[in-house]
Amino acid sequence: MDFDAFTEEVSRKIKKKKLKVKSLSSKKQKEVLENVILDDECTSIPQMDVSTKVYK
Amino acid sequence: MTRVIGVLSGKGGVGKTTITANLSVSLAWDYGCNVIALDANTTSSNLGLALGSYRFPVTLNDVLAGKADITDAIYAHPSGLKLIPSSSFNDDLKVEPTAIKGVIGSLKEFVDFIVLDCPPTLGKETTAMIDSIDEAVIVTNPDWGALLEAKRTVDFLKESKKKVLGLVINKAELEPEEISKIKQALGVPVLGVIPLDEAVTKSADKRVPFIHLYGRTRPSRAFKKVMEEVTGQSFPNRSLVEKIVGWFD
Repeated sequence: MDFDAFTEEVSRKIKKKKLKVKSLSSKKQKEVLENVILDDECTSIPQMDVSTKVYK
Repeated sequence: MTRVIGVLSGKGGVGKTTITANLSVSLAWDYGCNVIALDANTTSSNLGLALGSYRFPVTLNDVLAGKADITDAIYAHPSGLKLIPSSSFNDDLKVEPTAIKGVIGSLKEFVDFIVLDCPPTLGKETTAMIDSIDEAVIVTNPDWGALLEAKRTVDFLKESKKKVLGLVINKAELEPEEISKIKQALGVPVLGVIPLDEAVTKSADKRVPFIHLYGRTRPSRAFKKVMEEVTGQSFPNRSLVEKIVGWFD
């Protein structure tokens, strides 16, 4: 195991997003979910910070 | 129709998260399905880590605590998989696990599969997750503790009228008669036996599922058979050499 990377990971600060419940109507939530989940390019949601080139 | 599959074990540390990560990315990348992997272990989350990232600004914990909308807790993995991670912060431990059912209900109509990495034990959190799944994969190891807890989980699932797809016996080297005895004792099919191999530990260290990082190794060949059992379809794009080697595994 790469213990240097582990040490860096656990000491890394993550800025928690300031949360605000959107209280979307169920129709609006459905619309947003449809856009988020069915977006093949995944442009509308955050990308995971993954370093692998396996999926290129 | 969307399939909601829970990956459970009873005992912790058997490789549940590793199996969930491999199952989810393979459904998305190899089978081209629309998949959400959900880290249902809100008090000891690891699925994000197994897929490459550890900490997230909005998580399932925020959603279950009523602090955020589910639309803000979805992340894109490069395999095409969508991940809903749980939190790695101790501040986020107070959640209402029963709210998961509503979350899954809202996601269901858009995807082919929702795969839940469930917590160990049969506590409140796990039973809430079991309530929201349709089918289960049980991960176990070939030792008394893991097998007894797997049996207990199988019995609970059967009492809860949930379909048990079968067992994945992880970190194991077993003879056919031993597999047969486990199958008989637990009363469910064995989907596959994943050998303990350096490829699994190396891929965990690199945070990439072994089925894609080391696709031709023994654990990956064994896992492809698990995928075929779960999907009911041949594993896509296997080379002829791989197929021939697979016959001798």
